[in-house]
Amino acid sequence: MNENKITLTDDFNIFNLIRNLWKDRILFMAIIAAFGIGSIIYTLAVDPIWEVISVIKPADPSEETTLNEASPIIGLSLGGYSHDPVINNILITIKSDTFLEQFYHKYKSSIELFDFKEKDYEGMDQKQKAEMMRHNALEKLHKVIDFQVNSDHNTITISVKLKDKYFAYDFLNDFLSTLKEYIVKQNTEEMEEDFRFYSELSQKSNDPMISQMLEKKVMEKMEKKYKLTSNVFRIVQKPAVPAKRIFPKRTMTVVVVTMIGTLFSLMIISLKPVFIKIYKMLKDNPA
Amino acid sequence: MIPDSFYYILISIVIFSILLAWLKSGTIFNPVSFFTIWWGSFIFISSINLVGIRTPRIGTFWVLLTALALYSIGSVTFLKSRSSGHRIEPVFITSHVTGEENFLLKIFLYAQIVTTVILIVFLRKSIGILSSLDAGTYRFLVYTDAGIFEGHKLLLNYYIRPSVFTAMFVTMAGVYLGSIKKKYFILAVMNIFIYSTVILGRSSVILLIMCSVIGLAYMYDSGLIKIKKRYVALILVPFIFLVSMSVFRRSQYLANKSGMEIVARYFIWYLTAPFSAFDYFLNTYREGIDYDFTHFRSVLGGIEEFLEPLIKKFYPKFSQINNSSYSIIAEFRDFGGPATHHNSHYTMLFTFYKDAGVIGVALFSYFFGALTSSVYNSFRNNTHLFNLIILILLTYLSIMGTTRWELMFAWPWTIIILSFLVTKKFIFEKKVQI
Repeated sequence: MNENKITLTDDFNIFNLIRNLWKDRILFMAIIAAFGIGSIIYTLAVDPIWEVISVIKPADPSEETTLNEASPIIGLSLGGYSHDPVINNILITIKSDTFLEQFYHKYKSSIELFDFKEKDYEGMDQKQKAEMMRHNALEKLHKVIDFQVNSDHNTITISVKLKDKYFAYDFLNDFLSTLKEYIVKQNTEEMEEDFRFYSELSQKSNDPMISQMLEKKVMEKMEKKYKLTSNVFRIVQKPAVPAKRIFPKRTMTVVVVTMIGTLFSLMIISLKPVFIKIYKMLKDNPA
Repeated sequence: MIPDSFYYILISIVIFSILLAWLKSGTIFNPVSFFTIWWGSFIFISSINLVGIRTPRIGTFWVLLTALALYSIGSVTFLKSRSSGHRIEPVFITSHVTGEENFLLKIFLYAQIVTTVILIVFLRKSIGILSSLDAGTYRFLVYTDAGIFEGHKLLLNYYIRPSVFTAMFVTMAGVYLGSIKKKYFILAVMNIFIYSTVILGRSSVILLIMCSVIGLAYMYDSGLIKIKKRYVALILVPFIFLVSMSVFRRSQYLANKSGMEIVARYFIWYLTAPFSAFDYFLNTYREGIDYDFTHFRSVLGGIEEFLEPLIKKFYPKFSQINNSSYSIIAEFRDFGGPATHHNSHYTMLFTFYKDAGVIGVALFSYFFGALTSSVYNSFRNNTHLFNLIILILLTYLSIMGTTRWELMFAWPWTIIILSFLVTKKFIFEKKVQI
């Protein structure tokens, strides 16, 4: 029975660890210092990033179909699709390359946004260069512009993260007005197309009942589209020049990294006997 | 957009964790390997957007990697190799209880039979309700005041659930160690199936499958059992049950999909949508405005949940800490793909973060890893029922931490307490005299 008795020290070998820590205190402190100093140097050297945020509320939320009320209350369930057309329309637009391309053409020469370096395009002909520049620009725009749907309030938070906070502020303002114009234009075109379609149908129809029905349909379409055209979204929170950078968060980074360094150092100390054993094994059996 | 560097770091963490844990413990079947392979795989799947669920932001992925690394660091630090003087002898384990069906053991068996009878009553009631209600609505109502347990909440929380789960853990560990007859385990499994059917929930069957596999892996590694083909066949039984229930509860979205396809999609959704949910939490809720740090209370929330009825007798205004989380996680949200009705599962890191931010994520992951390793060391050096139960439970909780932190609920605590009482104090190990 005695040989099966395990002491607390064996089960949770923290006492052994403390003893080993004292023995290897220089290594222990060196690792912590490496993490701590490394994080300080990193946070000082890295370019700061500023974030400008705006919150928009899509128009006509009553048109939105919210989540199915008969969904299960606990855990997960494979439910049906949800439809939020206005929000979806805005999201699809923000994500689309066609929409973002406008900013590429507009800000092509702004080094605050696109820092194209000639050496990256060396050896390419004009066409290849233009294609590659467009590709890189869109990649950058997708990275810089972020959005988040708050399904509790049916709002969308749009943010722009850049190294220059004033440029980011101007850019987000421009982005919002361009977004509105773009969606209005799309909706108007769609509305005109619908109008043309139903008008032609109505003209072709000889039956006054059908004509009346089609005209009613046109009016309904017009009314709905007008609402969406005149009021795409409302800006709930206007962009503002940020007072604090979002990256790097120096104090937090140094604290967390140093803490991780301490725990990592503990692990290394606990692994030292294993490494010594392997080293001895390799030394004894060099083959 | 996910940078390539993320994938390099993810792969490095997984490989180094497995390697260091193997070097230290001398086996690949250790909690670190299970945890890192599971978490690493699902973090990867989440990043490639396999079934259309919204991909979390890179900031969220860094938090996930921090947790993965810290759990591994904590676990590797405290892992120990099995000491040569403590070899486990199967004969030693099988000899001490088998055949000693004492009075208390019979009570344990009768308690399970009572549970079966109670569950059958609820099963009959549920069949009646389901004839007039669709499966989705039934499930929606199951834990509400209009659900099947209407007026029987105390019975559910303080008898049915603890009894079903504890019996499963105790008998499973007992069967693995050869100290409990298989008939007890079969009865416990039957209760799990009935309970699962009554609540139309799959989580208890998933718990059964996962814990059986985890226990089998540990036992196989200890050399106490050999893997036989019939074990695989046995695992198939709950799996088939799971597929059937998924087909029964299938929705409009998956109306044309086969049973296997539903399970595959469900599996990916179940284990990756919580990352998107955690991302939503990190990017939508602000500490100090939408919520306050709960300083260790959320991590131990299950204790408050368990004691709430008692505390409320003395302090009627008492509100358990989980209520502050429910205001965030109870809401149904659309995370894209099949995850259009997601709630409740925000990963265990949500609870850690809500307690103390990024520092909470790092520290709690570390201590959780350290604790799991310590129990693992204890199991390998002095195997007995209780440490096997706790090891299986902790490994399950760490793996399924990809969904949520179960210790914020009462059920794991009841398993720990009841298993301790059953195995250490009253029944199985009381008479052990070596």
